[in-house]
Amino acid sequence: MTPGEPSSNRASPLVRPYVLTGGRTADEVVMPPETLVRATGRSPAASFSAPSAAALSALREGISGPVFEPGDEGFAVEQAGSFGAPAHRPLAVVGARTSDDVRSAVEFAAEHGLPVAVQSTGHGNLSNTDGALLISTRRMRRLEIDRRQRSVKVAAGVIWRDVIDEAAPYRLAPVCGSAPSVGVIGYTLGGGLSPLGRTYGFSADYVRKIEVVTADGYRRLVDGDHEPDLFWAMRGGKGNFGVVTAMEFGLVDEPELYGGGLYYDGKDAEAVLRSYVRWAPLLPATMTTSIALLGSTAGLQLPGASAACPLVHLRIAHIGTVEQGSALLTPMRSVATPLLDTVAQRPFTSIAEVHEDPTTPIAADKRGGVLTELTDDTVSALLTTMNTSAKPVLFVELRQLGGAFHRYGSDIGSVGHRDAAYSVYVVSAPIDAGSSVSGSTRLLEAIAPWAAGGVPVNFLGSANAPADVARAWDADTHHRLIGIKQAWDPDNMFRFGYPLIAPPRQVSPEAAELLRRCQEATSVAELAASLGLPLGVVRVLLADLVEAGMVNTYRFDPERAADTQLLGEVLDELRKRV
Amino acid sequence: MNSASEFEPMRGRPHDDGEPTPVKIVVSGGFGVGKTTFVGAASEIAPVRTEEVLTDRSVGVDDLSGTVDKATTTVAMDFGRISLREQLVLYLFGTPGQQRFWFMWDDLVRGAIGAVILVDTRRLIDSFPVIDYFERTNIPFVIAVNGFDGDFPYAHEHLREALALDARRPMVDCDARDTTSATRTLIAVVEHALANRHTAAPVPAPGRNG
Repeated sequence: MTPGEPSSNRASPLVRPYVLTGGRTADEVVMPPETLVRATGRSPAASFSAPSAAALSALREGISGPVFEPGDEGFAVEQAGSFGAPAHRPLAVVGARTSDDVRSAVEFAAEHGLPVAVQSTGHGNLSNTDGALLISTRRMRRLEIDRRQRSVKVAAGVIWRDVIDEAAPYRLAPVCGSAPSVGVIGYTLGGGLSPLGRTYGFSADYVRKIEVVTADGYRRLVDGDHEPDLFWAMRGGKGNFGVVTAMEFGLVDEPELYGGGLYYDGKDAEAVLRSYVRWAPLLPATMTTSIALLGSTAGLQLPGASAACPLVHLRIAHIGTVEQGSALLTPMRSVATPLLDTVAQRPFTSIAEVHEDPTTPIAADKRGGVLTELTDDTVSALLTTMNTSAKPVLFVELRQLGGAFHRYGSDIGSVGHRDAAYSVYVVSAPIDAGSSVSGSTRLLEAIAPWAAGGVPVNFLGSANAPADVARAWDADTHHRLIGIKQAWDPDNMFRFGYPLIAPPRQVSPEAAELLRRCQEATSVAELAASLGLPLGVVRVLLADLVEAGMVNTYRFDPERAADTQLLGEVLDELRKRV
Repeated sequence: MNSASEFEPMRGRPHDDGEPTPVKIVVSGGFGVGKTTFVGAASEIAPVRTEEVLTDRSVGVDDLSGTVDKATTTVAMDFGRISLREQLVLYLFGTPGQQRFWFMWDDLVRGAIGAVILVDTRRLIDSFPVIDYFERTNIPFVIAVNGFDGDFPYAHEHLREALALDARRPMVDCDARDTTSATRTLIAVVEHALANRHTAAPVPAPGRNG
């Protein structure tokens, strides 16, 4: 190279011989030596080593249920759950039979610094549990109805079907989910948008007591009088606070149910949806409705349906007489001729007929949101995206909120977005290698003008990073939840599913030393000199720490080199020194 | 540890009390002209040296744990610091001397508010390539004549001519060993940067034969 020739294209054959953990080289890290670095306060994961075989066999002995390790027969089934969660590789799966089993497992995890995941039916979107201790609660199916108190106490693995069937002889019913095969606990911790919700509110609103094993290994009974903050947080804050071993919640008198579904041909979609837009807001709180578009791959074959169009499925649950219910439904029955009409007076035990949710798991990208209103334009945006998207949308569902969903009060939990007008939930083919955006993301973008920006926590679907999870509440509620989380689970043991806090990362000893040295803002050059490490090494370490959110860097914006005010300040300060 | 900062930083972090601003001035010049001495005199900390390890691209990149083998070269850079006020820190960087590492200068001068080019009147010729380099950048720079023992035998106009410098190029005398003198030189750089700010066009470079 000729001296004096700025080598902006870096023609030199010399490079900095370091690579980032992500595979980038040090030359790609733009971090001039004067860049200031300051720790954010987020700490790295405490280092832990996997428990020894002896420790694991001690765990086995302390658990009344089975313990599966990778390679054991039954591990895959237990790990995947009945809803076919993706294959991860937890350190072990504890098939808990009792709350003591749960407590032993949590104690074991605490002792070894392991994160803990919990699963019953696996309807939640469990994030990668590699290396974690997975507690499977599906063996814990005990439940007790208290007829006098009109309540039920359910163990961790009870599903809605169990409660519906056990309560029916007492002419009682739970404010349950649309799919009876779903586990009660996970559903209720997320609030629970019941198909009876406009009449009765959220499932979480009925919770009276929660028995939970917290991260310190203690089993606690929380309610309005005992750990009220925790009780508040758990009714809507999902699985962030502990492992629920049992829950007691109120039942309602068996509702006089007039319910079912109306299926319309796809060619009538626009007319039906436009009618729904006008009809739904006038409904009394005795009727809860939702409307879904079922993509062509929904698997539901109805005679006379146009092949290529999505089916429209209107779901009705009216609590009251047949006469009242059918009068309310008349406009929707006449807007187009339904291909199938199952709305009728029916026993509460057949509540599943209202939604007819699919019971077979599919690999899909699932996302949700809430809407402030539903208009003709929303319908057009929905249908256009549904019919034209290159990324097929399999399913879109709008649930009408309002009514008792809208109830606020000091006695209710942390369920977010109670004032939204509709929830939306979209299922599309998973993101493949060729694209970065799924059909469900596209559809939510299309209806964004009517969205409130939030999402019910149970409808977060595939969006389970803490930044996504934060959208399940308003900022104040989220902030309060974070505070309670930090008080009860300071090491973030419960970080799967829909975590409030991102898991800490482990860092190398050099990076840990760097973190210690940049509690106050310190330049890259000083850090390198004081650690005796080459600049390139320090840049690489820092780039990884920045990515992990553990340090912030403050670079000088070259544009500011000509900033008169800044130069003036520098000049003034230098002049004071002579 | 402030536990309130553990969560995903969605909204401002509680103990982020303002963003600190690093500014820098580059100290350059020919080999042995006194860059290290200058940086040390101006700095509030003992002069520090940091190293950049480079390897031949053809050797390929090694991982962090890899040992530094024969194909690598270590380049040293001097630096110093002046804490101007809360959240405003001035860093001084001496440019690494050997010409084969000049590509590193590009990184170093990017974002600098200005530069000092130290000149030793006994070895003017060593300054030519350095001045050429800075004239091709947009970095405001001043020529600082390092008079050893307060000895400045040549008038600025003669030096200006010998160095083929434009009449507007600031030139100051300095003693690189003296804190006040070094600081005055930095003041001259910032003054020039401010003046330069108003006459945006870079100073044209007349021909110079090294």
